[in-house]
Amino acid sequence: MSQDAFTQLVDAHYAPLYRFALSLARREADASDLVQQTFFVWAKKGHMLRDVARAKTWLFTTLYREFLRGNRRSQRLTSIEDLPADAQDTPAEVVDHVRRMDADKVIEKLQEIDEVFRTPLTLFYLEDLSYQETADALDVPVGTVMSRLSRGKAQLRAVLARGSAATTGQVVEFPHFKKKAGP
Amino acid sequence: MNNDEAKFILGAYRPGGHDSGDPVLAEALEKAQRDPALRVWLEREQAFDTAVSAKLRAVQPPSGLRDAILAGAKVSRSRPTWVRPLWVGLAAAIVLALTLWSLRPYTSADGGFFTDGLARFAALDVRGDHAGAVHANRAGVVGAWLQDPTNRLLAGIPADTARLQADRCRVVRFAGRDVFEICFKRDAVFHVYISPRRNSDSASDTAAPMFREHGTLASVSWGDARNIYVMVTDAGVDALRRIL
Repeated sequence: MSQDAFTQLVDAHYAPLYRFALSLARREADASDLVQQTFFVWAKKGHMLRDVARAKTWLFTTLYREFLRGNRRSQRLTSIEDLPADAQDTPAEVVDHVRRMDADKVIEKLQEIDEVFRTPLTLFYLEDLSYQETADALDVPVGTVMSRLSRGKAQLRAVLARGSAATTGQVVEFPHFKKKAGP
Repeated sequence: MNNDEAKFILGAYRPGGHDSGDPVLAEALEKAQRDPALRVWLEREQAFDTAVSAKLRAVQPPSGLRDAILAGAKVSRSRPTWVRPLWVGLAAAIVLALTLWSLRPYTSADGGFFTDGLARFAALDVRGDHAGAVHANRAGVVGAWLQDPTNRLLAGIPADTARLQADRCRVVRFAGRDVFEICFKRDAVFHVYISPRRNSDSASDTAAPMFREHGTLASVSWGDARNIYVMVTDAGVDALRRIL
């Protein structure tokens, strides 16, 4: 890949990659490290990618794997059956609350979501990858992506509703998911 | 398909309308058009998703990140031949593997934005390109001074810009600035990156020595009236302290 092509690749993707990294790593410096490392791996291995059209998915996948390598931890697993019946509904006041919030505050709220849900949810909101591409990037089935999006949104709504309720005096419960037995 | 199933599927429908042609989502979208309750739910869901998406996409990367990426890739591609013997290549492969393992948060530091970025860049550069390479004998007066075990670096490296232009082993670009690199050996191998100061550099960019850990590597940054320095080694923070 020529220097010009590489520069175009960086310009096209480094900002959304940074936003994704920030949601994962939570600190600006660590997010920057992750993005730099991702392009470093591309500089070393990107020529091995046969289909250049898949570069975007490759970059998100690589960044996520780099993050996992540095953050080995047990993931909380929950069951879709335990999703509260009303967890899929968005109160109108929560929508208004989000619109009034600063971007940094929304990121902070997003970072309160369990990582297993936060990762696909961030990719969803970045709008760069479809749910199928997200499934490829995270190496999970499509149904799992949809499930995690559903539960991630439920958590995000609850976190945001708490902030909204803080100004209105409402009490909002955080959705509880029953844990599956760990491996 | 009932409404709960449709909601589950439509949860993956991106707010920008990118997925309107997706056949899996199409059936659920059609159902939302026919079912008033589901349509209201989808409109509110889309309003919520659009609001969150707009906030997330409003976050801007740090101003120096793009330059750091491009500079890092450039030096990793075009290495001078004197830092590319076969064993260095093999070592680089091993170091790359270690890098993937070792990418974890380094010691939190507030050493100034430019200096922080330069320290990360230098660690990546050393990891990927020339770990172990020593070429101070090519670096004239400055290199000889650095190799002299009686000299302490905080006493002041004799490195004005003209001298660095003449003596440097290598010049790399970082954040739009020339950074002169010299590698030298005392009881361990050290890589010092020297950037002439600019008036725009913050006070913290030239503050007291700031140590950082980058996985298997350690760095220290400091500044004086002329330059900002970052030194990297795989011998640990104590080795850095001994020669400062």
